[in-house]
Amino acid sequence: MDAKLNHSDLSALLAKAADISGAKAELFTKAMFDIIIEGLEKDGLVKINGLGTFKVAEVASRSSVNVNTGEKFEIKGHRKLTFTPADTLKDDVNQPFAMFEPVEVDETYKEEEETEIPETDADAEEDAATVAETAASISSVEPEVTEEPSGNVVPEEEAEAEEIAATIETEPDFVLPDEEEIPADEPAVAEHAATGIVEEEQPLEEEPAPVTVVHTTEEEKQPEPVAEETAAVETEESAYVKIEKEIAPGPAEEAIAIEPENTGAQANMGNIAQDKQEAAIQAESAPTSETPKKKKGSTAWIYAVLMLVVLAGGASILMLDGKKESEPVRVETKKTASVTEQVAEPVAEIVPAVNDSIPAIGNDTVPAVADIVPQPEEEYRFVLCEELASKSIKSISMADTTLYVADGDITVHKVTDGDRLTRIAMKYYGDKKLWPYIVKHNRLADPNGLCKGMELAIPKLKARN
Amino acid sequence: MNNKEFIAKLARKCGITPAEAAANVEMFVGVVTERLKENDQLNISGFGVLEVKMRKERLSVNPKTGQRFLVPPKIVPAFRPSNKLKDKFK
Repeated sequence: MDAKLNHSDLSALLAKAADISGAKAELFTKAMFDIIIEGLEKDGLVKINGLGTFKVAEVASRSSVNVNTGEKFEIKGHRKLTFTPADTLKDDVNQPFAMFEPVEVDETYKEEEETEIPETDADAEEDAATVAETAASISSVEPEVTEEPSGNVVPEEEAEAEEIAATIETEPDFVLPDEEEIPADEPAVAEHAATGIVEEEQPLEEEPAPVTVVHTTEEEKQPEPVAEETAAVETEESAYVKIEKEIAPGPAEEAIAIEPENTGAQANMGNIAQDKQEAAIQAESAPTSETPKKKKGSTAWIYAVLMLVVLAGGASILMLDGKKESEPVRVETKKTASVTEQVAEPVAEIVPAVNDSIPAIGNDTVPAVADIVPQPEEEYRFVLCEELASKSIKSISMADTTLYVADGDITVHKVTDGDRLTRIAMKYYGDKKLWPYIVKHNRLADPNGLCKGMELAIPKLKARN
Repeated sequence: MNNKEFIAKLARKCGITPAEAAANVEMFVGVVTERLKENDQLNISGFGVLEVKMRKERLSVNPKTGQRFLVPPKIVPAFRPSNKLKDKFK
């Protein structure tokens, strides 16, 4: 099948079929083709029964056009060799399609459609297959997306947990009664407490390491910025409070059971103790809380989580960068700390007074404050990151433009071909890093937009002091 | 040159009787047909290539009556002369 046979192969096959020696068969076939060529030269036609007719055909000269120049030219007439297969050979070769016969087509469109039907069917099948594939791919993508938020949610929730822990630390007396009262009266508060507790439980396994690192590096300053982010999370979560309500009762009960333990132990120690003791409970409560979030608020939730992840990344970069960054961060953290304290205090104050009103106020006020506070700070952090990045770049590439002061002009430089600011600076100051002074002195809008023929005043630099 | 002349010349060249030559030619044609049915390509150096080609289905119109026919796909034997042979007859 689909093999390529040469002369000797054919001769061997002939020898086998005609029962003659291979050498004789080869001679015979060679003689055959020689005679065919001879006959073609002589008569221009050789007919072999069962095979077909070889014929030399005349090709008339014709005019053509040179594709490149458009000139007309004549292709001269020539002769070519043609082969017309014998009917028997044709039929034998065409056996696979022998059952087909030409069909008269009455209504062209219909028939065309019919003829195309097999193709369209195949196409339809392919389409269906592709649709199924895409659907599968989409479905496969969705779980990934949903998984991401869940994975990301944990740290944020951890942060929340930290915040709650902080609030508990600051005002354990007030918080504890809230939690105790929650199951009895108000599901919303119960939800909040429950989610907080659930979140506390979740982080325990994975977060202890990062949390401790944070504490060591910047002691208690970092948990608070994290808490800001969590505040944002809280606001987002508040949107999903309805969703959580369904879940809340279950975890709430667990939370209640856990709460007394928390109250007994000190805040930090209590958290760790809870974590260890309730590892099993965490395993159960975590999935329950995550699954509804995935289903309902999926898209909004994903966006929120992605934003938070980005923020967390920025925050971590800030932390890593160290001293310069830590100062502004401290300011922020102080602010946030004060904000959170302020928020916590009124809530705590209200709690003992009016039990019923607590949930509404607590839920509304806390996220509201959180809404206002974290967003500008987040933006500020971004700006900080960018500034720091740009500063670091500038410090490498640019000289400090405050070291020297321009004091009159040395000369006027006319920009020529191949001139660059760094090259000009090198020429006049011997230091290419001093090019910003030229830009500053000439008030160039675009340092990269040097034009040939432009005249630059080269300032004389005098050391400041 | 028809088949009869071809056989006669072949017999004379190979020193065999025309009947034997005819039988051998028939055998050879049989072998070629068998190979072509298997979609094989027969390269005969100095002569050319015998092969089969697939022709797709097409619509043809009878210019006189305007009837349209759907011509079914088919496999046809084809011969491509070698460059040497082409140049010889050009």
